[in-house]
Amino acid sequence: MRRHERVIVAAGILGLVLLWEGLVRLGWLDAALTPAPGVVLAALVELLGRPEVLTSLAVTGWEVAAAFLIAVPVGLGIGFLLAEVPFVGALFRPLVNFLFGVPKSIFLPVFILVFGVSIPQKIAFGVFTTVFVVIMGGIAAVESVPRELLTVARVYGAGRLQIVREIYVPAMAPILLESARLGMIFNITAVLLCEIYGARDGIGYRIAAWGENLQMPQLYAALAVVAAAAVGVNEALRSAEARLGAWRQAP
Amino acid sequence: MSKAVLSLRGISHAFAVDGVAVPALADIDVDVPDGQFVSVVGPSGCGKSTLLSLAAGLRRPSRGVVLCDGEEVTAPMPRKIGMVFQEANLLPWLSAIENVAFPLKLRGVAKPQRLQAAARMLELTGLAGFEERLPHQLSGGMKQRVAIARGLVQDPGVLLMDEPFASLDEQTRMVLGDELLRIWSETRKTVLFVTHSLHEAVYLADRVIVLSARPGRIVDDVDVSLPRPRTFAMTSSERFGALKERIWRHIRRAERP
Repeated sequence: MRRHERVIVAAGILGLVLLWEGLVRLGWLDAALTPAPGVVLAALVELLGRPEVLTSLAVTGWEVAAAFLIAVPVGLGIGFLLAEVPFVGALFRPLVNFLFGVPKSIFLPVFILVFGVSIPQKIAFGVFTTVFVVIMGGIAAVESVPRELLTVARVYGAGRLQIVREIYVPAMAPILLESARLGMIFNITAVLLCEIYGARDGIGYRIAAWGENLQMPQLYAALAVVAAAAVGVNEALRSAEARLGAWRQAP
Repeated sequence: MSKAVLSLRGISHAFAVDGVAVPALADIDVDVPDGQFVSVVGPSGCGKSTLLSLAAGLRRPSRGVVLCDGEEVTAPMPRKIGMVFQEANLLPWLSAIENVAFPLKLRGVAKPQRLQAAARMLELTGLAGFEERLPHQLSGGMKQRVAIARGLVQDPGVLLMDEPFASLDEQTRMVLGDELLRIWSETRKTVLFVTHSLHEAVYLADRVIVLSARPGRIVDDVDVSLPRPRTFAMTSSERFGALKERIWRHIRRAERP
């Protein structure tokens, strides 16, 4: 993000928080449903001191990371196969395109039946949701490699490995990172959805429980933590993308 | 005349389109002596570019052989043959100097040496001071200069040029034509230059090879014999006009349906 963008985002968030505080004080917002930011902040500090909450965060973090680390290589492998091997592509690309349009959340009950309410179930569902995004990204990345540059590399004596290292990898890097970033957003959503739907631990599980018990300050505090973590991951990937893709920018 | 650096012997080539062989070139025999600048012209689709990709070793001809320095060309020979394309085809993530150094990188030349060689080539092509620019920060003419520098960086004997100025505007094209002649006179490469501009073909070359419509055959081999250095004034001379007209007759005959 450029500096002025950061300032705008920070000012926007601060403005929203102040507006919220003001509306609660004026009595326009029900403090029982939407406690003031100060109250939420106090709950946040208290929660971060509770070991079981930290464990829940760690469980969720582990599930998200595991699902991501499985989905990205698997998705890229499938994507490259579909894009580079004409036979495989002709056979399976229509199917993948078709399945991409189906909302993955409707399969959640199936995952519970197969895996039970367990950590592997969260990871499996995370992988299932994420892998399609990564497959699409892998295909797009391969297809973004300009064929003329392959000819240039061949004329100047590049072997197969050199063509991969010198042309494919740098040409695909920005799109691969972009699809990893989008995949991560889907992944976090999927894992939290699983936890809210049915789990024994994880921050999604706690959010659901606090919600049901009307423990609104805790609920909002947890939302803030999850949002901050997700935005952090997203921004880190985005800045890597901008750095590796600087050459894509028009003059 | 010195001996041929580049020879095309009995070349015929056909493409398989839906299982049917479509002839693109037939019975091409050319010997290009060391240091000669040869233009290749012909009606659209006559196989000019195919001829160049055969000479580059990017394809194998259906029949015949390509020889470079007496050695058969069966695959690209980066140290002997450089190539410049219609589009500059620079690697967009590399700076100008890194693009020029790219062929040396593929060969495993150490970074300081290859950057030094690349800097010399950028200077030769008039781009000193633009070393660190990315391709998207360069104009079309500058990109093509980088591509020429890249083609020359390994000091190959032969430079193949496939309509290198075709996507540039008229003025840039004229300037680059003169620049190419200056570079050529300093380096004395053997050049095979494909173009569809008759003016450019005559202005630049020692010799113009004219191909017929598909499948391309050599219908004329014109000795330009205008003095060098070439000047803009020569383009309005009688000799220049006569050469252009002679070539145009062949093309017009071929282009007529």
